[in-house]
Amino acid sequence: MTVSLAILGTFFVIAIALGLLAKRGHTMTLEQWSVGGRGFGSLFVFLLMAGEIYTTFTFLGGSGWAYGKGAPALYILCYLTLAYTISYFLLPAIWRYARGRGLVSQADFFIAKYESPAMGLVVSVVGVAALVPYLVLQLKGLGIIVSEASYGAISPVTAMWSGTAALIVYVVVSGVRGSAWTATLKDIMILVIVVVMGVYLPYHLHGGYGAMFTAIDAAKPGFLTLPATGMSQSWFISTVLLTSVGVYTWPQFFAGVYTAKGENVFRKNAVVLPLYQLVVLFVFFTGFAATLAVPGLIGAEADLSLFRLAKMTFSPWAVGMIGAAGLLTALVPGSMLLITAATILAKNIFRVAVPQSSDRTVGIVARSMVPVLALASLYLALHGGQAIVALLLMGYNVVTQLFPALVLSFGDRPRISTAAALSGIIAGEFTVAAVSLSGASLATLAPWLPQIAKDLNIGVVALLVNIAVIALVSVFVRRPSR
Amino acid sequence: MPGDTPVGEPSRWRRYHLLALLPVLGMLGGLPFANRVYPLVLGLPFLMAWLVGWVVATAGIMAWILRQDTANGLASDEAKGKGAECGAGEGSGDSK
Repeated sequence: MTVSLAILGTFFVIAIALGLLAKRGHTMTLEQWSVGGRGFGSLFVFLLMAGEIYTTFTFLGGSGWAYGKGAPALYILCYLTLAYTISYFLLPAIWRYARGRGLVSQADFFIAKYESPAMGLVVSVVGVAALVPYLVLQLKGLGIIVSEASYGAISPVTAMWSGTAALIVYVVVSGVRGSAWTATLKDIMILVIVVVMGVYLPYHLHGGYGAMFTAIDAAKPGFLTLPATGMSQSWFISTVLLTSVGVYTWPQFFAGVYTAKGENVFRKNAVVLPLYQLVVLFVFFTGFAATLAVPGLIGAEADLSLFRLAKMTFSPWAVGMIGAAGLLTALVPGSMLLITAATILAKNIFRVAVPQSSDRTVGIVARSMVPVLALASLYLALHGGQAIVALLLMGYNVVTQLFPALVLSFGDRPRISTAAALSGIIAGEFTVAAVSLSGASLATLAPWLPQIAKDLNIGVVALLVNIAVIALVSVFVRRPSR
Repeated sequence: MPGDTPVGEPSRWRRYHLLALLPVLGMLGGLPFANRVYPLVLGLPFLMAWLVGWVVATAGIMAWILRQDTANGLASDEAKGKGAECGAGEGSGDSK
């Protein structure tokens, strides 16, 4: 136990040190802080983009879903792959447009495209609203990792508090540059650990993959395929489509696009990343190995399965290393999320409210928003009981509503009027909010629908409402002629 | 999106880009057929192996598209010299 705690502590210090070192030689203007002065080469952009793969979401959530739900967890593999094929065409176009216009945030892009500050405000609010569940998820993950890896010596609540404090210091000091450096360390560690666990555990516990899956299929028939109802094929397809188009509507990925020096890195990434993310498979293997080895974790507790199995199998120093890797998977993406949300609040909301404020003031506001956001998310993390994957899917439902307006903005000018784009986004978000707050699903709203329609991801319905409203408003409000 | 080209700029769209739709069709369209445990493939349940196979195929397809694009001069870092196009109007680079 003391060994694992010491390892956790050491890596935490290393992460902070890397963050401080990364800052050297760069004056932290807002552009440096949030998009690294647009000077990141291929490797850094690659690592920042690959960041989505190795977050606490896949590490704990991916194994937790494989453990608790089985085959539906495979959606993660599919949506990332399809997102990369989309990125091949989408990201160079976004990058080209952003270059030379000094765009820093996602909202900047929409403001420039639609020539509408109102659009910027709406996109900003949507972005922050979607980022919060994502941040909550990272903090929850941090709590689980630290408390599990310390063998319960640190309670999840204390762990979440100290993790949040760490994140704040880290982000305020070094901004996105800290993320890139630590991302390098994180990716190497997590790669090694995930592969070792995903290979060792199935062989150690069952004698091989074939034997493990045969045993699981015998003990839990239907666990390794998509069920006929609920998380059925129709759920799977709609969720994969929704989340894969949603990936690049996340404000932090938009900002990630801006960090690149050139546009070709995105095309190369689209080739390499599908293979790189196959490592997620080993996370699934760990989760599947846990289904029979550490049964009985129900609901959100499934997120603990990876650590429970690790503690059962490995010595404390190995658990400490796994915990340290997990710590980094929470710190790096968590810092990206915080930077993005803080930049939006400062540049696209504060600056709009106080137009005469100087760049320096906006920079200070951005940094002071970091603790505010982190503490608000911490509050939600301490008071909500949802599993990690559920939180991310919620964020996706919110943020994907920007997709129609994004796609329709390409061309020499947007294909729809600002009014239509705005109405669509707002209608979509209202649908998401109404459904999330009432806890309804298509099965409860419309029991007369055929099963295949009932299982559709509710975010798809919101997206359809969004598109319908865009079409309707476009009949009345044409795009301005030029 | 296809066919969406500002005046004066050659289209960035090529017919072979449609190949990028194959992974969607294979991965998701193939589900009714692939949603089974047996036969195991390399020890993996059939569904998992099917999806993994498509992930690998996707990388191959995208690599092929990138090669074609590079050969056609559609994939390059136009902006190596920074500021080449600062403040350019709406016309630049909006087609996908």
